[in-house]
Amino acid sequence: MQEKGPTWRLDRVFKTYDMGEVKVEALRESSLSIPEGELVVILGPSGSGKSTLLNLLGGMDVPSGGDVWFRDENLSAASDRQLTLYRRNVVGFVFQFFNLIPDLTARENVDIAAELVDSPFPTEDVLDGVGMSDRIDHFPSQMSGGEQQRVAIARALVKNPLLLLCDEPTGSLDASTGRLILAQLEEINRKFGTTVVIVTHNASIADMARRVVRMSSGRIVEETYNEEPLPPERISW
Amino acid sequence: MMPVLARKLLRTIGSTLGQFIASAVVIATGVMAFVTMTAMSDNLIRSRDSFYRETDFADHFFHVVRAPEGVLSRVEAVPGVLRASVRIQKDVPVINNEDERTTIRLLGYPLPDRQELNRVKVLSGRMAEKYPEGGAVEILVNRQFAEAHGFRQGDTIDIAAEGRRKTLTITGTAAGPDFVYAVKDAASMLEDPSSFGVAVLPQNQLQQILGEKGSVNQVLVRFIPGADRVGVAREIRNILEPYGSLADYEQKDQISEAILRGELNQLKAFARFLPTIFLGIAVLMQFVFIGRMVQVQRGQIGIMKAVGYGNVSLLALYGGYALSAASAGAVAGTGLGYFFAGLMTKLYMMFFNLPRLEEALHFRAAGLVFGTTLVVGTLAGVWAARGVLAVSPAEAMRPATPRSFRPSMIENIPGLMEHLGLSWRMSLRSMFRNRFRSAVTILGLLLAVGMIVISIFARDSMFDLMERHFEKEWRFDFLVRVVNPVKEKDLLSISNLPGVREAEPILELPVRIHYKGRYREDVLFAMHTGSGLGRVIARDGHELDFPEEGLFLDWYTGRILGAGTGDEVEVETILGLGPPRKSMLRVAGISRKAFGSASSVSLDTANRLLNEQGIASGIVFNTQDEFKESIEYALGDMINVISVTSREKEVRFLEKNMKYLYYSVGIMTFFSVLLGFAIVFNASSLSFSERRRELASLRVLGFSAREVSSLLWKENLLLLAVGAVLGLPFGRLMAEAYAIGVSTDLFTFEAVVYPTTYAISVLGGGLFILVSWGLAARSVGRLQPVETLKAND
Repeated sequence: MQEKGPTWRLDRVFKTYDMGEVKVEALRESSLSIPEGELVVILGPSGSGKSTLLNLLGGMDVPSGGDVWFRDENLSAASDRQLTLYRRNVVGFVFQFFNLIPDLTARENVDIAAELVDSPFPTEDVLDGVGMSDRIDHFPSQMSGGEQQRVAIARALVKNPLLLLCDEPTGSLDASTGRLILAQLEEINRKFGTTVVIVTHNASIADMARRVVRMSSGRIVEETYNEEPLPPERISW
Repeated sequence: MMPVLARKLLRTIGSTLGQFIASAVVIATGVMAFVTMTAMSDNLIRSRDSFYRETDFADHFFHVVRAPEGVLSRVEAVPGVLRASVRIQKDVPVINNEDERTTIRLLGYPLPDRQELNRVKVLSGRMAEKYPEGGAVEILVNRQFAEAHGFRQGDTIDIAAEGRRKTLTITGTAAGPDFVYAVKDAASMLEDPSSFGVAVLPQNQLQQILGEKGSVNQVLVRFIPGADRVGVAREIRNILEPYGSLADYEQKDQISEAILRGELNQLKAFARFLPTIFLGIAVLMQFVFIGRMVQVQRGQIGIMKAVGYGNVSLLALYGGYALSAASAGAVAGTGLGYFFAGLMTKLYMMFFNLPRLEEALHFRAAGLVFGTTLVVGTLAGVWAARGVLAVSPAEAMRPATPRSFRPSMIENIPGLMEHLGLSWRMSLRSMFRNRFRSAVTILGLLLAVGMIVISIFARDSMFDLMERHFEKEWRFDFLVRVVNPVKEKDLLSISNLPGVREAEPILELPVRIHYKGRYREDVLFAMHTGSGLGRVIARDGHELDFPEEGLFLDWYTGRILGAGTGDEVEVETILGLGPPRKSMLRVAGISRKAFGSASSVSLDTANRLLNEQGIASGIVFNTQDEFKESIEYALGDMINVISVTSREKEVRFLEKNMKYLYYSVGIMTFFSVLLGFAIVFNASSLSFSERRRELASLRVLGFSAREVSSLLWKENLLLLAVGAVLGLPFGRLMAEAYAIGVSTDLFTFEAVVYPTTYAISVLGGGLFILVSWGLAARSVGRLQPVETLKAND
């Protein structure tokens, strides 16, 4: 793996939301660098600004101030069209509530992402990789939470993204299913070198990451490194 | 393979099939109405124009009492005249064994044909010969007349002309530009077409029959393009003055053309009116529905954006929904439209004598409406979808910020809320706080209720016309017109017929009324003042006696002249008796006939205008019922009688025609009801899906399913009340707009809406509400409160 400096760099970004009658400071001035191929866990209680950080990294939102760099592209100055292309070609998302499209089957939910890029992985292979090959024509309502999340991971992976962003990926799952999902994420990072960023409030998950970013009240308060990350199977909560 | 977005579109259509079909049906109805009417009127216009071109329909018509054929060269010599033709024409009674009095218009046709104006086209059989063997007289008749009486080539009819009986041999059927719609005059529009026919025969033969050798009474003119038509017409009028100039008019006022044009106007009014309403509603439905769908699928849109879909693809997805509904509607509507246009063409063939009306239908209409529907429908969809697409994907991932509510105006009315029960209070609050949702439902009900009013009002207006005509104006059983005006006592042969109870002479006097440099040709209808058999109807609907002095001016003539009550108008007689006379008359009031147009004077005034005494052109009388048949039979044998109008037969004919009206009312009502259901179904499914959580919460709080659905019911009832209050005047306004759209110089249609129609419309609205409530109640019954509350939309 070549060392060319961090691929993603947040430079003194902050974000405030205008919620009708109140202003919410979701993220106060923060800076963070993520080199390609890392597995990072961003840890913090709800309202600590971690999802906002994830959204900025994923090009889902632009900061109210500061810069978000992907290589030499400044995402905070990017147009809507450029952000769409960035999300399309660079990022894969996994959400807490899976967010599958209810009127599409597992295969179609993956296809909908595959169709966007030039050389996706074959849908069947990806679904097979997450252990969903036998549920390929089921609709989300016919799947368990863990199954839905695996389809969601397949949907994120099929585009062969550089960056996989996971927002509370185990938040809606029981512990054993959660561990399976985390193992899959770790495997993706290890096998394909995909950069994986996991956002969670669950401190135990931090044990599997080499790098842990702790957030509180909209600020990054601490960055730590694990010399010996635990394999996900051994994490418990 | 089909892209996943397209498959998602199909699934969405599948899961909202009810709404999808509802809006497609509304679109289809609008498109169908447009295509039917437009294809028909296109077809009619083309057929008419090409027929007029082919037969050289004259630009201007002059009627005189009698002129020598030689006048033709003088008219043709007038600068600005391209060509001219002279003809002789006369209406004569047909003597037949049927009890009905039939009139036939004998139309002289110069032979050999040297490219005359108003040529006739032989439709079947052969052209009449100038000098047939055996001294017979050959004629061609219009197709409708031949069909009505079952005449075939070689059949003969007897006519009475110049006091003699004459036999004519039919050689075929023909069409001419001046009798595409064969009717005697504007006043006879209501008479059964079988009682009037047109016969074309060689001019020399007709002159001989009428004892008018070398004479003509009609001059037809074609102007040089760009000529000063008014000036040229004036010059020709001067030339014709010595021959008893009776009337002259432009092509557009020629009766057959005027009726045809009226029909076209009606089609055009229809083609604009109905589709606009239907497409407007469809667009609104799409707009509301897609707007709501985008709200509901906010999360999904966010995911698709996060995955990397751009705004254009997502707009295409939701716009595609609208496009699909619009396409489905447009395809079905166009197909049905051409189908109905085909049927309508057959109907028109019954009335209009146009040789090529059955020509292939043209596709301009389809192209026009297809394009409009797709563009407008899709734009509505895209516009409705625009809101959420503008937010960033991260924002779309969060639930929508709760809308901020404030107490509505109605809650500030002191004392109101305290006096209402809890459920009424909740319904009222919900209605006022969700203004957009309420507004959409109210608008839907307004349109549905209004549409029912529009559907039924034509019947009301027709009844009203008939009542005015047959109950107020006409208080007699028969109206008999004689060939030439006679002394009143000469009508004794009629008034003395057994069974005649009361009889009164009438005088119908064609006149030209002048006022401040303007003039209009009109008919004065005269009866004795104090007559028990006839009345004049004032503009405002009052019944008036025939005026002792002055005249009641027809409202339409009054409008054209700009003359009103109290003004002095100049009345010029144009009856072919002696020289035209001019007199001044004071306008005693403005009248409005139910059918056609005529001004009214007393019989004495009419006679004074002619400088005559005791002259009448006909007689009206009442009979004892049991003598009606024998009277008609006796009249049929009187050679001097030109026409017999029986009130009973006219009523019967009108009632027969009312059947067509009932068909169209039925069809309109059917579509209005369909529209109403579509709108209400749509509004109620939307409203329910929007309120699932709220209603589920009520269930969880301890409300019974019945109590929850009664909340919906009360809210619906409130909305209906508002919708009906607005819908009734809306319907009334639309009815008036429609009436103006279809009115012509010949036929003015006044919008009359009976109270029962309003009541039926409100009941219709109530029915829609009932159905919508039924749907809601069923959905409430199926509501799984816990599931609904857990679900994340």
